[in-house]
Amino acid sequence: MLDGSALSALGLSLRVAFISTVLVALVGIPAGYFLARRAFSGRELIDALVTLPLVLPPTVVGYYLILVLGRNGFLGAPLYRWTGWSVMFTWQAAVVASFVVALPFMIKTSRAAIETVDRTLLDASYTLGHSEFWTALRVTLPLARRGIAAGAVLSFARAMGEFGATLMLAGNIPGRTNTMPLEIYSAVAGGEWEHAHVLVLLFTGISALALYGANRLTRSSP
Amino acid sequence: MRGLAVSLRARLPGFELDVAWEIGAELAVLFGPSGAGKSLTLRMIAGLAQPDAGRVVAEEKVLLDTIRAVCLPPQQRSIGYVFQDLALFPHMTVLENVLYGGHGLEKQDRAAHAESLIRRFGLFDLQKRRPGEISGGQKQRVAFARALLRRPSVLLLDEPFSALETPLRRDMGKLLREMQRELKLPTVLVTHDAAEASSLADTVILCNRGRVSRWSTPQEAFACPAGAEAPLQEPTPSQLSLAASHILAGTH
Repeated sequence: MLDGSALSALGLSLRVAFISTVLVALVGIPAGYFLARRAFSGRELIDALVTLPLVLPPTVVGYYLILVLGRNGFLGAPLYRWTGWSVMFTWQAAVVASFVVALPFMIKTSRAAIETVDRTLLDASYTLGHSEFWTALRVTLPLARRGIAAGAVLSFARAMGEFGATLMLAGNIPGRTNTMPLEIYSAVAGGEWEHAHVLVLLFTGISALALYGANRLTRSSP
Repeated sequence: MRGLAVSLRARLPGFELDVAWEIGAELAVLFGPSGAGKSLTLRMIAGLAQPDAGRVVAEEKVLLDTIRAVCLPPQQRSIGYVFQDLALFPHMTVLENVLYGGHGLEKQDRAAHAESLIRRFGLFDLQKRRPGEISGGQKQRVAFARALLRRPSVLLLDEPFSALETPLRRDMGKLLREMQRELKLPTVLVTHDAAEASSLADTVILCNRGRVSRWSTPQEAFACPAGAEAPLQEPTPSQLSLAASHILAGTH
C-alpha cells in the first residue's frame, strides 16, 4: 500500500510543513501582536499586504517569489554571487513557498485572539509595574493561546497542502521536492491511480485531523 | 508634604475635566454621579490616561507635570490600583495573581509578604484556585492583596465594591478602612454610594460634570440641609449645596 515514494513524499511534506509552521509562528505571532496592539498609520495596509497570499493564486505568489529569490532575483542574485547557492529547486524553496502562503493564517488568527484580551488586564499589569514585553509574555499571549494554537494548526495544514507556489519555486523533483500534493499530481498525470488513491486518502485524513484539532482549540473555553 | 496632590485638565469630546484637590495620608472618597469624571481622574493619576495639562505629586514624587514635561509611565508610579471589574488574571491562581503584584521586591520578601496578605485576607485555603472558582468577595480580596503587595505609595480604588451585596460591601469597607489606617496610605476610593462614602471617608470630594464642586469632611458633605447656612468654604454656597443635594437624591 504505502510504497517508498509515498512515504518519502509524506516525510518531505511533514518536514516542510513543520519547519515553515515554526517560522510562521516566529514571524506571525509578533506581527499579529503589533497589528492588534499598536495603532499606527498604514496598519490596515500592512494587514492587507500580508493577507494577500490568501487570495492570490499560488502561481502568482510563486511568480513573485521567483522575482525575489530566483537566480536573477532581487535577493537571489546577490546570494548566488556570494555563495554559489540558489534556493530554487531545493526543498528549502518548498519551505519558503509554504511559509508565504501559510503566514496570513497565523497573523489573522493571532491578531484576532490578541484583540479579544481584556484591555483592563493589561492596564492592571502595567500598574503592577510590569513592562509591555513582560505583560505580553505573562498575560496577553497566555490568554490568546487558543487562538494562536489554532492559527498554527491552520498554517500547518495550509503548508502541507501547498502546491502551486512550490511547483514554481521548487519544481517537482522526485526524492527532493516532490511533496505530497506534487506527488499526487505526478501520479495522476502518469496514470498511477492506485498510488494516487493512497496519497489522497492519507492527505485527506491528515487535513481533517488538523481542522478538527483547530476547531477544538478555538471552541473550548480558556 | 505626605499625601497626594492632583490637578488635571482634559478636554474630551462632549466632556471637560478640570479638577484639583489634595489629600494627606487619609482615605478620600471621590463621590458623584456616573459621568462625573471620577474614573477618568483615577486613570490619569495612575498614568493610564493622559490629561492635556496637569500635575500629580504622590509622597513628594512628581508623577506628572505637563509644564516640565514629566510624565512617568504607569510602571514607575508605584500606585496600587483596584479596578472596578477587579481585573484578576483568569489564567493564574489566587497565589500567582497576588505574587504578580510583587514586581521589584526581593524574591523572599515577595513570598513572605504575599503569604502574610493572603492570611490576613482569609485567602489561605483558596490560593490554588483560579479567579473563576471563587466568590465575588474573595476576588475582591485577591485584587486588594495584589495591589498592596509591592507596598505602593498611593492606593486607588475604582468602585471596587459595586458588584457586592450589602453585608459583604460593609465587610470590605471595614477591611479597607483598617488597612488604610494601618499602612497610613493616601487612598482614593471612587463610589456613588452615599452610605459607603459617609461611613468610610476622612474626606469627601464631591464631583460633578468634570468639576470638583466641594471637598470637606463627610459630616459637612452629607449632613448640611440644602439652603441652610452650610459650612462651605468654596464658591457660591447655594449652588454647591444644591448640587450636593441633587447628587444625594440620585438625580444626575
